[in-house]
Amino acid sequence: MPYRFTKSDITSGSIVQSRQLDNAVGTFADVINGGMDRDNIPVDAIGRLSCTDNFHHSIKIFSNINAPDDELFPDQNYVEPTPNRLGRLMYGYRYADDPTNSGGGYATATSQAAAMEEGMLEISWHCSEAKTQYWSYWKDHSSDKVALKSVQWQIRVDGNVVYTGPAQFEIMNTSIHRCTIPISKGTHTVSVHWRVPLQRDDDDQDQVVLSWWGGQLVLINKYR
Amino acid sequence: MKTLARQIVNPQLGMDLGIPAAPQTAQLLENFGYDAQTKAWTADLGYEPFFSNTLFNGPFSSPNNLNAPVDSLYVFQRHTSKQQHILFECKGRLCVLEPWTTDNHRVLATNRTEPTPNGVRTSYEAFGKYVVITNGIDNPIKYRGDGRLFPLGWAEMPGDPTVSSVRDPVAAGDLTALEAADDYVGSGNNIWTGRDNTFEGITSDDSDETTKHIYRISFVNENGSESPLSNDSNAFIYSGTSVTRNGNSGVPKIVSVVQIPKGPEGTVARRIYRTKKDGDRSLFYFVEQINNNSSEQYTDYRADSSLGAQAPDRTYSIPFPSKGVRFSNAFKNCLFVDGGEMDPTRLYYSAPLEPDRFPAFNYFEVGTREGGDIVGLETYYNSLLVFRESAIDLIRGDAVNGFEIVPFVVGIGAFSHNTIISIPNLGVAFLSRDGCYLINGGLDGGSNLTMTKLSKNMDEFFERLSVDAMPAAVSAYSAARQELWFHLPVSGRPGLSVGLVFHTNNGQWSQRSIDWPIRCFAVDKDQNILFGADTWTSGTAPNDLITRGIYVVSGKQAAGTMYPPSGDIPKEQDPLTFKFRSQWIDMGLPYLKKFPKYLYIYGISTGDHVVQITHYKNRNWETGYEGGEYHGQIADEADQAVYDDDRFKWNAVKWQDKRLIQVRIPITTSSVSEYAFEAEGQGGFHFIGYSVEYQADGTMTIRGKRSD
Repeated sequence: MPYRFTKSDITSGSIVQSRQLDNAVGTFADVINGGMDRDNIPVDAIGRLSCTDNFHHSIKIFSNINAPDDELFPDQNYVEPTPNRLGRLMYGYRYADDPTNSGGGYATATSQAAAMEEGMLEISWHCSEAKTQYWSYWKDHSSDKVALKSVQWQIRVDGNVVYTGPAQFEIMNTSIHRCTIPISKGTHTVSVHWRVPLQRDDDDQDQVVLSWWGGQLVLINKYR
Repeated sequence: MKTLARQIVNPQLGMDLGIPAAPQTAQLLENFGYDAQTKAWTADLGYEPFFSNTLFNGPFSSPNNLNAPVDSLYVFQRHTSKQQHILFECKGRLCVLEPWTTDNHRVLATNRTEPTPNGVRTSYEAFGKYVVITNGIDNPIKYRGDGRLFPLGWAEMPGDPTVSSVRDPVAAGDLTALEAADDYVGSGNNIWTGRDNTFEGITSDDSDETTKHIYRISFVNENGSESPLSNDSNAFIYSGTSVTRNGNSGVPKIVSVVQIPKGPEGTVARRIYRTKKDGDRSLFYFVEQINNNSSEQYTDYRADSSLGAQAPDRTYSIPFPSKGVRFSNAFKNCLFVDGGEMDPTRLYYSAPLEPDRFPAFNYFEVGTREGGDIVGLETYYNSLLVFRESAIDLIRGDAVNGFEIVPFVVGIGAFSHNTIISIPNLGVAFLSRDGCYLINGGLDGGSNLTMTKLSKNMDEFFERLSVDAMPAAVSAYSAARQELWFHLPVSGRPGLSVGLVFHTNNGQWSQRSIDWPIRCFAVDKDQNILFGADTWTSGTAPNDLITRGIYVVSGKQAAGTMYPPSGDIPKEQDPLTFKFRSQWIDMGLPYLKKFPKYLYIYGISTGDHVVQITHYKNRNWETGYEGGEYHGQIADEADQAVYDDDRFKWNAVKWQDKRLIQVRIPITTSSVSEYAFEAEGQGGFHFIGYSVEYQADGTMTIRGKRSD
């Protein structure tokens, strides 16, 4: 808490050394450079208006994000050996393949880097998603399980979890997730992850558990 | 042939009021600082209001009820000085400066006692995150910053807890008011037998066994200090009885409901203690700590086997023993306080790190020995110095192994705690009746504790002290200025009027003129000396001089402010007048008449400031001989450029170097036995020493006056 007072008063008729002037000015410059705090700023010095005038938004939108084709496989229960009587062909993630790998862990949907200013970062992710429409718990004439599964979404910033959504069980829906966090200046990586529940012993390996598409990641950096 | 001789005084030393005195000393050095770099006395001293841009020096206005002298001042630093709380008292109000607010201050307490002009000032003593504030009359308090003011110590013991009584159940199972506890536990058979691991019940599950419990309570505040224990509660007596309900029988154990008092401000928890079921009042045990100061009821369900440690005994904490404490000091993690006016030879100390808990036997009585009342405390090295009116004692040891008090010196004492002050590298300085003394060294590690008189040759000054007003004297040490300031009452005046300064750089004394309106001192984190004004003026015409509030000693070439203002900015007063009077010098030839010709003043060039020189002879300050006015410029060269002068327009940089100068001044006194001169002006005097050129032609001092 700096209170600075006259170190050297240069009055009329004085011989002035440059160092003397430096010292006289320096004691106050020192406060401005390193010691500004509530004592130096009068009450109401920063009002609503000054905040509004200097408020900035920086928006980055990453659209049309889709699950990579090489991670998606057909639901074999619909196409083989007998085509599904509803005639649907479902492509999506299966327990047997990467990156699901029996479920339970988070796989990356997208990862985007952006330069940011110190302030707040609002992260918004939405996509369409589908879980296969099995109405029974057991696959016909077998002990394999084919029940409806769920998906959970997570958002991370620089690898740190900042948001985890609830498990969603709708068969087909638009999934929307949003969070706002304080952010420092610099380039930060925002990644979106998904997770399906852990596979049980006798879960059917031919079942598509999840499919998602049409994702959009919106990053809004608010700063002064 | 007449030859010129020269008496040289370089460097010029400080004041010496002895007769005779060494020629290097001075008769008077008024309003000078000392510059160690050039080994010179500098007249660049002034003071400015703390709030330079407000009409009333911040909050010191009539609407704020602060239109009075500032009675005390203290800078409390916290968080490695990131926070400075500038506390002051004015018109019975204890306030803290808050320059960032509209009012510039916050009132912490009102209706406090205003000290008499000759009374001891309020004592402020930092203890951890608190500053302890005492003045001998008002309740002692401690301040923690941001408006948090708490009482010091526990003023009284807590009120007694009250236990709700309970009637014995009838055999049919028509239980007591405490059946609520049964439902709560839900033990299944609707009879609470107390076998629940948590809710055990306090009574016996033996039929017909009568139990008796008594409770006590204590308060705990935020620094962990525990209050004295309360008196006993009423006894909770219950006889175990078998009851039958729903076909089940058993002896229920029941709980007690205790009404607990709330603690004073600052209480953060309450501790409950109780006896075991035998009701033995000599043994209480810890039951529970309630971490709030709001609940009024506690339900005790602990079995005797689940009680905690034994309760502290009554000597562990007592009501604050010194309601009229005048001053305090932190030493070895304990807070030492004096006994106040009514108990002035008693010294109490707190438990370590608990400034509010005073065990019953933590005190010293110094009145058994000669030396008078305790007047101040100061921690130094490995001891606590206990200053008395005419003795100094030492407290040594620590709280773990016990403190002990030993006498240090008898015959010398202090006036008040405000004039006892630590100086880095030197020791503890204090004012006594006959001067300023310094205690240094220690009693450990082969060192010796010694006391020396700092104010040798200043006895005449101390003879002028208004002794009865001396308790009001104040002091401050600034490491930035390397100066120890005293402000003292002299010449029978009741108020403080003259300042005396010890310059630690050269070990010399100078004094301040009566122009300094000082009532109390403080030093901030940058080692600026702050002072509270000893008066309050309205600052309107025709009262030209504005004096009010808190001021700062600085390089400002002004003695405060005056009317009229320019907008909200008061006009600056003229600079302080400095005055130097050399020592009387006889050139080592007391038996001859001397003819001084020239005075050469050695100094540093300062510019066009006027220095008035007056010569005197034969110890007569009454008749001066005009010496002329001089500038701090080199005589036989073109003037150095100065600021704000038409000759040196600022269309080019005219930086200058300060240069050593010798100013020659003719002396007009004719023959002298002893010679002295006076230099007076307002700022711009940088003075290293002088020499006097004289002739002695052998003229002897004439024969003495005869009485026959």
